Amino acid sequence: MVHGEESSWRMERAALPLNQALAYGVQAHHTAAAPPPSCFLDFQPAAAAAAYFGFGELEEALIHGGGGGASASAGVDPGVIIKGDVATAQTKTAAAGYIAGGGSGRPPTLEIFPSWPMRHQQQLHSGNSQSVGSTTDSSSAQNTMSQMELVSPASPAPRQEVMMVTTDDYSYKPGLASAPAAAAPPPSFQQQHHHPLPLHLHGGGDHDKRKQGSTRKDGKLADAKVGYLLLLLLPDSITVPAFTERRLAQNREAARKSRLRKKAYVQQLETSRIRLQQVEHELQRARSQVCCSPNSETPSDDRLIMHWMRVRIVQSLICHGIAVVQGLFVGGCSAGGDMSSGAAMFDMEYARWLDDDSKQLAELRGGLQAHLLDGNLGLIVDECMQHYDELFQLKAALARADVFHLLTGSWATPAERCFFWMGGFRPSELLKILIPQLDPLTEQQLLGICNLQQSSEQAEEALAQGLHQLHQSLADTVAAGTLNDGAAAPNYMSLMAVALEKLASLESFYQQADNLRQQTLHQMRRILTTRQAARCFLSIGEYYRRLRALSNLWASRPRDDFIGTESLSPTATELQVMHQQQQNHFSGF
Amino acid sequence: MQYGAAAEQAWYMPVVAAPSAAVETAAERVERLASEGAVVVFSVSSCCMCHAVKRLFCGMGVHPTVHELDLDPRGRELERALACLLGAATGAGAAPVVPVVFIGGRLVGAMDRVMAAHINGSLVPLLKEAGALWL
Repeated sequence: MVHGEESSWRMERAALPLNQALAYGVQAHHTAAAPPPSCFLDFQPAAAAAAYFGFGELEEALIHGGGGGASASAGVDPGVIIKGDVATAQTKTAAAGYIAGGGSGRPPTLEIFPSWPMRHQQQLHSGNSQSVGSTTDSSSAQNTMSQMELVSPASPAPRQEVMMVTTDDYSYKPGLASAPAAAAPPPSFQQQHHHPLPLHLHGGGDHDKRKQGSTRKDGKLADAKVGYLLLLLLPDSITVPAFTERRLAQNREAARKSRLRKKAYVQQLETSRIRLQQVEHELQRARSQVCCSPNSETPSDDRLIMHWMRVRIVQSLICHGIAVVQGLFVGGCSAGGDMSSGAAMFDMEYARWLDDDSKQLAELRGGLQAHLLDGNLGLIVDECMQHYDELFQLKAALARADVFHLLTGSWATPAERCFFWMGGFRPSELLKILIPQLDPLTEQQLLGICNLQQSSEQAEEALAQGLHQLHQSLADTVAAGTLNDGAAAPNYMSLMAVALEKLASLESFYQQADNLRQQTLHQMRRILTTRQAARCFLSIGEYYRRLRALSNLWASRPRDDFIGTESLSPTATELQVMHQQQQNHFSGF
Repeated sequence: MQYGAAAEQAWYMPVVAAPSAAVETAAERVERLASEGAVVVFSVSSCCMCHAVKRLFCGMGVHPTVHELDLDPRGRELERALACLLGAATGAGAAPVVPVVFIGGRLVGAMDRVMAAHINGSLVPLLKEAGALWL
């Protein structure tokens, strides 16, 4: 939420005074000694006792954990949490647990101060400034308050955020109380908040303010924030599992993200539904036109075309829906509004595959250098094989969804596209590259690989010839009849139907090509020993990584129109910089 | 490449009462046709994948017996029988079952099985065993 994000930094800025304000409580709890000299608050013994008592309960609540709920406001800002010192990590968890435990009936997701309510900080500072003998830096308090005023929402009425560490579980008497709007706030803050919840950590304050339980969702938020601050101050002796806190924070984030995803998905479905209706209307219109024309084709052609279009529409809708969900989960959408959903989905999945690929390469390299036993290295190699199988599955799905995206290779880098053959690498070419890398090979292995090369060449040739015939027949179909008549040609619709069917068989060719690649890799695995197979996969991965890098360098090479002012070829350092800057890796495989 | 056992039958038909095609089921016919040659390919004349398979065998020096199902009066039944053999869906919108390859009377499968067999080196021994390939 905007408020949350805005106020998170504010919270950090306000953290110092808050820390100081809360310091007394910590100290009182743990040391039971006089407040530290740095504490600017001069609190009464009663308040101290109350604080101690409160902290006792706080700790209890912290330990118990759970119960935190998700509020409507922004999710946890992990950056804010982490801002605390390492030493405060435990205390943070304590606060998290507290927040979680403080609520009643809320789902156990942690809501760690996504936003600090302005009133909250206001109250605190007001409380600070009211304290006796306060050594608060008045300017900082002023600054914070002015900031809070700026950010304070216009209508605080709906906001029910609880300030500070006030819950039903414990009370900071007499000074600590959170009050609903009806409570009488200190006059100086009346105009700024409806729920004055001052953390009056000193003797004075609003005694009559009722505690506001942290039962409301937003209350958890504020409690979380306070708890965080408390945690910042709590010494390390409080041991709270840090993983709980992190886990709860993650849950919170995940819940928020899934809500957003759902919303976007529903919107997409709605637009798709509207589009479907429009297309159906067009179909009806076209059909009526066709039926009225004197040379109406046979009903079977008509039905065929409509069937085709319906199938395609439903397919695209489903893919679109899936792609939307996928996109939300992956956290991004590929650019290009004219890209089909299948293509977009593939691009996202492929980017993920590339990330996995670099990890696999690193593992292979590490395994080879560490001279692992064949058993362990074999596991890594098998994993690598599965990794490639996964890619072929993705490509098969893409062939079904959008074969043209596959065959144009727009998902691959330009340097890779140079070597494209039917939507990927050419097996015999790859083998030619690999053979010198795999020295030394036994005679039998060399023979096996040469046979493999020969058979893959034959298979490639056969597929290429089949594809060529498909192209020919498609061209003949589209050019059938008289082209001069345009769309009014007599067999136009039937011609289109036949062409559509021929296009469908395009998909099977690209699937066969991928099948060929997959079989080639599997056969290599069978021929080679484990160690050689590891080197083989490493070589393949490195080769394509280099092609990707080459594409990036090529794309980012300096191009200038000024003659003689700059060097036209990148220097070594420039190349290095560009190389490091590359983010997205796409290569054809 | 030799086209169509039906053509051969027409040649030999005269006196001998050929097994009545009406009685023979499609599956039996498929089996019979499949065992009539070392390499038998069921195809459709307009299918480009079938063309690819034919080119693959010709490239290896093999001469398969090709049965064009669209030129056969009982082609539809044969196609359905082949689909059952392969375990593929027989719906109207499903992918075509052809090409289907039999070597030495035994089913090898559709294009992907043929390619896999060729890559892993099992196709050539199979062909040699069936007598389709010398060397």
